[in-house]
Amino acid sequence: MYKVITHTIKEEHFGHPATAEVGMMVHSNTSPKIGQMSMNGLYSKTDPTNSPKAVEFRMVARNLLDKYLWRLRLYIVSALEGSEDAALLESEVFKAISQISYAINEYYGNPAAMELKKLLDSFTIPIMEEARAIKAGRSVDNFEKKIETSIDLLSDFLSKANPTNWPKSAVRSIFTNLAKSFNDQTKSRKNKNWLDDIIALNQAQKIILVGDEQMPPFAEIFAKGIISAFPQKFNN
Amino acid sequence: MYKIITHNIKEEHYDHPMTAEYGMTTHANTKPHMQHLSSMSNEITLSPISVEFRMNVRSLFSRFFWRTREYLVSLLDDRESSDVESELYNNIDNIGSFIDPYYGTTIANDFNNSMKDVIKNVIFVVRDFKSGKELMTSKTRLSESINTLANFLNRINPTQWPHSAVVAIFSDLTNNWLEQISSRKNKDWIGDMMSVDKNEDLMLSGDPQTGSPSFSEIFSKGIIAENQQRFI
Repeated sequence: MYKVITHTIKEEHFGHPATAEVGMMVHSNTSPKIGQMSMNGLYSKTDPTNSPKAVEFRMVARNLLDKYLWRLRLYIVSALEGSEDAALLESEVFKAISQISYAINEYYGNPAAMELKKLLDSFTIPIMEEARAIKAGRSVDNFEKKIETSIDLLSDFLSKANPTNWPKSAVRSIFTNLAKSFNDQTKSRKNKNWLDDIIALNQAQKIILVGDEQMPPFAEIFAKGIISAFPQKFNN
Repeated sequence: MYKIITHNIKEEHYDHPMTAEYGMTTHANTKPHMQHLSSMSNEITLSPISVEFRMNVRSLFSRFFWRTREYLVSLLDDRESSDVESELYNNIDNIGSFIDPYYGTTIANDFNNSMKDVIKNVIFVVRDFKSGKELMTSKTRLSESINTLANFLNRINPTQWPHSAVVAIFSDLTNNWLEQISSRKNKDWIGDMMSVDKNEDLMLSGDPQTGSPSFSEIFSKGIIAENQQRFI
């Protein structure tokens, strides 16, 4: 019962507020335009990922994914504590997903943005349910299966949208590790193992925002994938 | 169970009035000297090494910003996880280690100490608030520590980190943290999240409506501007 109602409400939230908000973020021009600068080759005109507009987009993508990561983290902490703000945080998580999805709207169109939102919701809902189940001492096997299925669908969708930059195996690996890091946070906190909780949180940040020698952060993979697929949109 | 549903419905109301209110608040808070700082972007900040530096600095400030929030909430709620305090100070040290190559170890250590003083004083205010003590003394100490940090940053990079801007940013940042604590104490969850949003803009995102840059950008671009040859 709870699930169904939550789902309905988050769907209502998708369109308008997020559209306005993210649209402003994506299109705000705080960076200089190429035409306004004296060029001396400090950044490559042939590398579309480092044009002013592209760098701005990469920063926006990072902000959006950071919001998602931390709101989901806050939700897990609150759900495990039984805090009264869990319901609001849940809606904040879905709002963050709406904003991420809207970021691809201009490039892949509204149906793709809606589909991405649906898939990210499907990935996130079992993580949140899992936190509630662990808090209640219920089995989590069912949720792990749901997460696995959602990752499969999400990686399939992204690889079809952008096969060169978002290959299925890479996306699957990223989201599998991300789900594990959230699951580890949940279990560690439940067991009052604060050190492991921080390690798992750091791992989530590494996957999404920081990256390592093997893999750039997903924020960069996501943003650069769009820029590489639509370089003409980032020329100025 | 049904109560939770009511919460969600209440959340529908969250967006519209808040958006309007928040927009007005950020406009009202926009500081002229912060707008001046937004003009510091130049081509050097777009070199690949600069962009990587800016993103790394942003990640460090994200950790610092969110850990502080988590720590303060833990403190307020008497959560056992309040031992993440050491992690919070590690995050500050990590920021300091980023300025070390440009300003030297002594200055990096001084920066860490100044930042830690600000956070320690925020913690004192929260502890006093929690125990119902008067806040004048701890808030005065907090203001002094912000002033010390601003003096320090202004001394090492007067063009990019002017005293008044740093004071304004850190005063807003700490006020927002204290607002979060006060809102949570009153179970005003929406007020709490509004204040989180404000701090995200201040530290990480910048204000998309006014174009005011985030502190992480002011910080990283300040270093880049002073050390341009190292970012080519």
